Amino acid sequence: MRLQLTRSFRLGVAVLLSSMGPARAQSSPGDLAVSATTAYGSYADTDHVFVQTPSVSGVVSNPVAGWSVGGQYLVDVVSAASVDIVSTASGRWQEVRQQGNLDASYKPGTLGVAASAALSDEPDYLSWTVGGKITKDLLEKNLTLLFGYFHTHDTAGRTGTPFSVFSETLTSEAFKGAATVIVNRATLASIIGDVVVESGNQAKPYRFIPLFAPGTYVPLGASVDLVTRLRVAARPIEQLPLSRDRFALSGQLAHRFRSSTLRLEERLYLDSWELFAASTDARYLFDLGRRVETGPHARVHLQTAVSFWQRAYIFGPGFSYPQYRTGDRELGPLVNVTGGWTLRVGVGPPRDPNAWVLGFDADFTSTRYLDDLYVTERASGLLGISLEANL
Amino acid sequence: MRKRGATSLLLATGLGGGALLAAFAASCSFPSSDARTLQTALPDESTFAPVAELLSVRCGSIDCHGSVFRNLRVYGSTGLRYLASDRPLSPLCNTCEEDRQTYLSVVGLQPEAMSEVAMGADPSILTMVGRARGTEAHKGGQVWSEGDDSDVCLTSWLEGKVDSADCKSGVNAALSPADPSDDPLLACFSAGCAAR
Repeated sequence: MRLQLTRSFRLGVAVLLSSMGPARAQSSPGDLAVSATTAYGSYADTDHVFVQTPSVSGVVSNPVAGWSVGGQYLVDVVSAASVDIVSTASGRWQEVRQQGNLDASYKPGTLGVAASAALSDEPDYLSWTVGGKITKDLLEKNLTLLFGYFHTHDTAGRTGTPFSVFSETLTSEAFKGAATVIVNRATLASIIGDVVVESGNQAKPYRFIPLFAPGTYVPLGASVDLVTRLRVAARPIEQLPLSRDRFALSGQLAHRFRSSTLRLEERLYLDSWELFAASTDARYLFDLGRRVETGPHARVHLQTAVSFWQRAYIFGPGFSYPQYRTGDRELGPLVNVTGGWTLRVGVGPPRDPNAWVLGFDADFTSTRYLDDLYVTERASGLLGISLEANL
Repeated sequence: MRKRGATSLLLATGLGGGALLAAFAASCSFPSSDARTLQTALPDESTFAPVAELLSVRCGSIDCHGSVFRNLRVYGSTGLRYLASDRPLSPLCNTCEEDRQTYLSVVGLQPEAMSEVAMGADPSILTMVGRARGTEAHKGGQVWSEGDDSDVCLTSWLEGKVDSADCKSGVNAALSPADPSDDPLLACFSAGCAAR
């Protein structure tokens, strides 16, 4: 069962894992560099959703020859009793998702190519992605251009029901273009554009939308009991447009001070469902000696609702239903603020303290849902611990 | 100079991208917020009473669909009563309002698919049909089998030619195995719903 909140959780895990990254390569020219990471993420929120995510990853590369091969495997163990589940008189459920990724890249000179594949499996959802990127260094490597394309194919079903009996398909074509500039010896700036064209049914097969008689007032954050009392008997399944085009433009700036690093990112997003979002992300890491790197992380995200969003949809005379209807809070207007802290400790031998790095990450997010049933705010925490090694 | 050129190019790219995003926002037509779907084709409400009786007995206990919290609500004299003043089996038969509410819930669960079925599509595209047959996962397990009396009762009604005898047999099968023909609920098939 796909969670209402899964998207934000996965984004958090992705940020966590990417911030861990492989340990810094220490290879001599011509040597193979081998790094491995094991990590554990733990998510909890006030909507009674808990996710445990152990993962392992590894990279083998030859920095001089310019190639690398890597892979990652992770497991999400989800336990949930969120209001969306409780509101349909269902109990807590547990589920396991597994995901594997493979990446390979080759960049012998100024031109580089990379390919990747990912497979994600859970009882009611199968997703695979393949894609690649081309990079080209220009202006004596002061400018790097990137173009990427990824194809994703998702099959969504219902837990316990074979895909042959019920399934929906969603495909997406994702295009990425980026330009990265070395502004000066200590500053890097990037502009990234993303276009994703999605086709298929994205409605959740478990999500049914309460409808109300015309003139019924349903307050913000109305409780499950109140919604149940006010709604009409007809409660139709979620219905969303069958295509969605997404556009995002991001700017990133990273600056290395004498003993610290600042990274800023601004992302603007718009899609063909009229959802507009802006995200601002800042991360500051400072060195405490040779072994310790630590610092804060902050993020603010604001978004408007999709054009067909309504807190309380109306069941009209003559069996009239809203053509599009959703209860997905991620499609409604919301604001969330994240604050976090990162600590990375080099625990390697004195000659190379960062050959082994122990990492700790903690992020806490407060989300306000501005026009929703059941929930008006949610607090969530994501804790991560990792061990990275150059073998 | 090369760094400056690269930086200028980056700024131009960013501005160009922003302009494209703004142009898209200005030119795009978004899904309408007030677009409505009219359920023009519906199964016959006037012949729903025997189906409502079957659903009430087979699916409407208060720990199953006889709960107002369920997406599919089933009202009836053996479970969820529409009026707070009514009690289990008192009145003995479903009231007309209970049948009406169950009907709304049944046809409103998958309105688009329900209209397709009312226009001749295979009833098995409906989740409630698949769940009752056990071909789709159902918390309450398999309730009946494809082709048996209860299944025929529901699907024949969906196809516009309800077989009341099958509905009665379906209820019969769920009543006391000792002598179901004596069960007073069976009288509801001839009495019809009680107007309140």
